[in-house]
Amino acid sequence: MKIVLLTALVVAAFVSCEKDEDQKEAVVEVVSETYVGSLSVNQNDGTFFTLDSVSVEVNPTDGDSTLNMIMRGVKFSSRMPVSLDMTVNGIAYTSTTTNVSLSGNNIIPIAMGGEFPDYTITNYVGTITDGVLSFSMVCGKYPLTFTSTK
Amino acid sequence: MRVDSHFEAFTFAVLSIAILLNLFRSQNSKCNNLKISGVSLLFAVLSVLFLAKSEPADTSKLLKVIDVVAPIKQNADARVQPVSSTTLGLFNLEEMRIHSVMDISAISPNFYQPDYGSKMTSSIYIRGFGSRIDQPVLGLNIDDLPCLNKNNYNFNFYDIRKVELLRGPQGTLYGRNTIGGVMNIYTLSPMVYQGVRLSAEYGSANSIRAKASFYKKVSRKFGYSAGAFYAHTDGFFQNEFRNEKCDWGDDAGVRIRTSWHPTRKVSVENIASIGYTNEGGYAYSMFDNQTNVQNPVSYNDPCEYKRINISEGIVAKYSGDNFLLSSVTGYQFTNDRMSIDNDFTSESFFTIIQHQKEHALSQDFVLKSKEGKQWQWLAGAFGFMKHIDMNAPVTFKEDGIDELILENANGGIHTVFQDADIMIEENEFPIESNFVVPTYGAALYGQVSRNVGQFTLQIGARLDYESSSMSYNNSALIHYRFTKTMPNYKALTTVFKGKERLSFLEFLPKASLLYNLTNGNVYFSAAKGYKAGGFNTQIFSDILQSKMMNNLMSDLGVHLDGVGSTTYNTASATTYKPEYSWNFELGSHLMLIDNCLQLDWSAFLINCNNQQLTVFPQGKSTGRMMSNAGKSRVVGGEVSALYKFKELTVGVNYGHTNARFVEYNDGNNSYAGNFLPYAPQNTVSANAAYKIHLNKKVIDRIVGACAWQAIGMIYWNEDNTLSQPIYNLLSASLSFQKSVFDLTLWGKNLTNELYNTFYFKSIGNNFFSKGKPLQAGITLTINL
Repeated sequence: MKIVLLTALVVAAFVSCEKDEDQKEAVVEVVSETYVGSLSVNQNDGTFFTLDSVSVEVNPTDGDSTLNMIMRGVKFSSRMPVSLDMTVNGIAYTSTTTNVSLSGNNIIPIAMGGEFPDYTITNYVGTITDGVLSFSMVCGKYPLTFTSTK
Repeated sequence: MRVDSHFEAFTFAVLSIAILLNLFRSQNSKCNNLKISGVSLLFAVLSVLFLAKSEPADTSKLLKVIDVVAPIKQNADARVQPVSSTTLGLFNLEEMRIHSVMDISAISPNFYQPDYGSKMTSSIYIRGFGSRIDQPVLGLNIDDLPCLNKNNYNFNFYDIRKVELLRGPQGTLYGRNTIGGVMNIYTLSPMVYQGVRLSAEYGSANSIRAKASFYKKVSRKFGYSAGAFYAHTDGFFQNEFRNEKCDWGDDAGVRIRTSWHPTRKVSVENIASIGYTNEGGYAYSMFDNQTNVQNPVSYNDPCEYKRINISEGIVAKYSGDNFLLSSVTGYQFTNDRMSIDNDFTSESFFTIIQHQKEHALSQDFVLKSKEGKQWQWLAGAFGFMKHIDMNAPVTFKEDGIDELILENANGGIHTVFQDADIMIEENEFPIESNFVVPTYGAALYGQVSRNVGQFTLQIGARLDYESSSMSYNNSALIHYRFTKTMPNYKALTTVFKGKERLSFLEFLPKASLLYNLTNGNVYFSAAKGYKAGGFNTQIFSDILQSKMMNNLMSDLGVHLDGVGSTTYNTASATTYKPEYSWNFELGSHLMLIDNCLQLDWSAFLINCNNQQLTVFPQGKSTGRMMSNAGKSRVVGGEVSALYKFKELTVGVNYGHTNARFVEYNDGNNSYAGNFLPYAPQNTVSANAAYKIHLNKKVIDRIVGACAWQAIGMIYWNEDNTLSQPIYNLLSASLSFQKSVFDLTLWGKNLTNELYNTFYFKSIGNNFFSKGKPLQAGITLTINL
């Protein structure tokens, strides 16, 4: 009888543990994903430059709660004859059961083969909610926002 | 006349030649060793030949015999056939000073091979059509052996027994690349000529030409011959930048022939030859189309072309009672290397070295009925294979890297980052281009003729299959950095490799109706012509340059609109299709005025589809390629008259073409209605020779000859904005003949006419090549 009771307690304990782990897996998992959406850049002259169909790749890094973001073929002004691939490393994220919050400050982006301190990223704030990435940041002196389509 | 009786004269001749050679020896600095070695070799051959003490030939009796050659596919006399033709015999060729295929320009109406580039160039135009690169419009057979590489078309003539140029498509009997005609060249055989033939020549630009040959008929069954030549020129055009002549050249060659006639019905001929060329060339000068000023030749990197070619042919014939069975087996090896300053400017843009080795095998079997029958027929089987191994690295140099690569890339970058550059570590780097191109083909062909009264109806057809592939392996390695972000250079490798295949199955028919007159004939013919398709190896440097730009930008994460894009960015896009034509011709061969006047005329209409044209990609491109135009049409006519009366010979040849695009749009412009570029609209040649017999104690006879050639107008581009008006070349010669000796004073381009022979574009610049100026010289010929 004691053995039966002990076994029941052990099983009850395991069942209790499984319920805790189920609760942890319920948070939104960050996986590598490409988001396509619209980029809007404040030109600091009262106008905004908008670029549609911008691809943003999000890749979580191993071992910490940061991710890298690669913006493919972006322009920040209509006067830019070239489009660039820009990488923003070290964006911190926290996951909840409903979304992923993104944040970062003073991140030097990588573009054209190296670092671009002139365009240091500040005030990076964003979320990934229901497969939609949206963020805002200041790139150098240009505030910009991005929102992907679902 | 025996050799022994002329020992003193012969010695005198050899000494004279030696003195002539020594006259310029001290003046000539380039390739002196080779020249002296060549001359030594030549005179060593002479000595050996002389010691052989052969019986000399009575050449006057052999004149007609020598010129009569029995071709394996044609009648002995081309003028009895329904075809436009020009035939030149041994003595015509030597009297008219024809030293190469090029010298037949205008002598055969509507035939033109301009003198430019190097011996590799060999661009030939017939009846308004031509080809600058790759597949030629003219087939060339030497002793019935087809010459399968256009690079070998330009060679020095010596002891050529007969040249026969058949104009109009000859694809039914001769196959690929005979869309404009066929030139059959026959070398002298020891079975028809015996003796020693020597000549030495000195002319403008320290040009020399020396030749020695020996023909021995040991018996009715066996004969052999050996001959050698050497030619040199210092060149006519000065490269101002390098302060040296650019078109110098040395040529040498040896030919050995054995003839074995074991029975009256069987003959076997073996003809082996080796040719060597080492020359400069490429006298290209920049043309400023804003000011219409043609600048002097001035480029910084040397240009050179070297070639060794070996040809071995075996021609076996069996003459049955009613037929002739022939077999022609050939092997040809070509090893040539072209090195050029591809921008032809004094700046260091880029150079190209093209080195290729080609092995070619061919076999032709021909079964033909004997001439003179009511029914005449011919059947043949032909096969060939050739293998080309080519590497053609394009080296980008400092200015080329700056202007062709970095200027384009940094132009966009600077609009964003004024103080930052993309830099390439190398001062120069090669784009390696390696190609392996095997080609093989097989054909069956036949022709039937039927005589009905005065009419002769002839039909023929050929089924021709050809397959070719191109394996390409192109690569480039550079180290680059973007100064704003990259402290160190980074390696960037671009590779472009793969394989393309092409195959063609063609049906090439022809038909003709000939009406025999008492003094000649009139004919109408229709024939289909075919020029094979192929691969544009010369555009690959452009493709790789484009891909390298894309790679660099991709590696940087920069996307420039339009940069790195090119019209031809895949190998499959660079292949070109076969060219086809239909030639409709009405003509006549007549003998008039008591057989003193030989008159040939023809009028023709040619419709051409998929015409192959050399085009330059837009912008500052480095390559060129063959492209298929839509349709073109040529209407033209030809007249040749030869009048012989006593000691006077007068010849006149005129050809006219009106060759226009019917459909051609290169994607930017339509050229419909414009004239086809590069081919002359008119070719004229007139020549007269008169012999005066003198007191035989001093001189047997004097022969005076003069000739006039006019060629043009030639449009240089598809939009017909640049052209060469008709230019005139006057030449004359005066020969003093005594016994076996002939001393000739000669001059060419006596009016020093200024004209251009070629135009092209490179990295957006326009270039012309000028024709050779006034030349004069002296030639000593001895026929023992």
